[in-house]
Amino acid sequence: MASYNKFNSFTEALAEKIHNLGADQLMVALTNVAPVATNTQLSNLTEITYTNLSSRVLTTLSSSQASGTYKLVVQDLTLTSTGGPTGPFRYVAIYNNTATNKELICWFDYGVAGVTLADGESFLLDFDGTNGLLQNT
Amino acid sequence: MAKTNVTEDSLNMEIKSTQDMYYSNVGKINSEAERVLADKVKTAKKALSDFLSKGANVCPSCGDKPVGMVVRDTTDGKIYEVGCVNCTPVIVDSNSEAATKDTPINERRRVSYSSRGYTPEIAVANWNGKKFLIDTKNTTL
Repeated sequence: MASYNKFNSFTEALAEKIHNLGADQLMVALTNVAPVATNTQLSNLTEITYTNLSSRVLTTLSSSQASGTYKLVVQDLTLTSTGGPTGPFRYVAIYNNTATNKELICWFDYGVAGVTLADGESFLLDFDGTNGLLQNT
Repeated sequence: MAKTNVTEDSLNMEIKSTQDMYYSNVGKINSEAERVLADKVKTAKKALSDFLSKGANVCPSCGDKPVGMVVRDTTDGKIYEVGCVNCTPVIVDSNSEAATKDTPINERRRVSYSSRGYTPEIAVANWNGKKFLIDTKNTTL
């Protein structure tokens, strides 16, 4: 299971009106170079080539709080390579595509073996449904 | 004028419409106007959630209304989920009724306050029947 890693700047960006997670467009970035927690924006990452890859746009399903705990829920995303291979990549990062500098939110590490999608292969990002992508307490 | 039937597709079109409006104006208008457009996106998404969770009972744990969603949308079809965004999953032994001190920890599983189905109606029925989502893999603590 890939574990959640937070970019440090995300918490400040949340507090300073960089993100509106209820309405902004969130996207997935793939990289084979390890992100670090001090990265702040998409240009800090070395992305792979997406020529053959399907849409990387996430669908936000719920953005709400209860008793002071905020939760962001997103739809699972299937990435499919068509017309050729995609990758290799090891890390899946999520960023805000609406924010001015495409600020980073978090990333997942899929392990040392990495992932290469052959033509026609798919990769499922399973975001845990109602339990959410992230919480802020 | 006849009222248009509300469907999942029509609600998704409304979401796309409000999102397009928001995306094309964000950063170009004042923050108050931006907030209005963002709220329209949230309202449209909530309408879809309400539609997909129609008939669902309140959460048996916290008493709040659950949300409805298309949790996965693939070429093989959609998977719907009804669940509580307030309540955190619980870890239970896979044989909890018969659990003893000797139950191995790798037999524990995570149970979420959510239910799934291939249609919204099935997801709602599973939720109302408390057929909650259990991780297929064992959870090691």
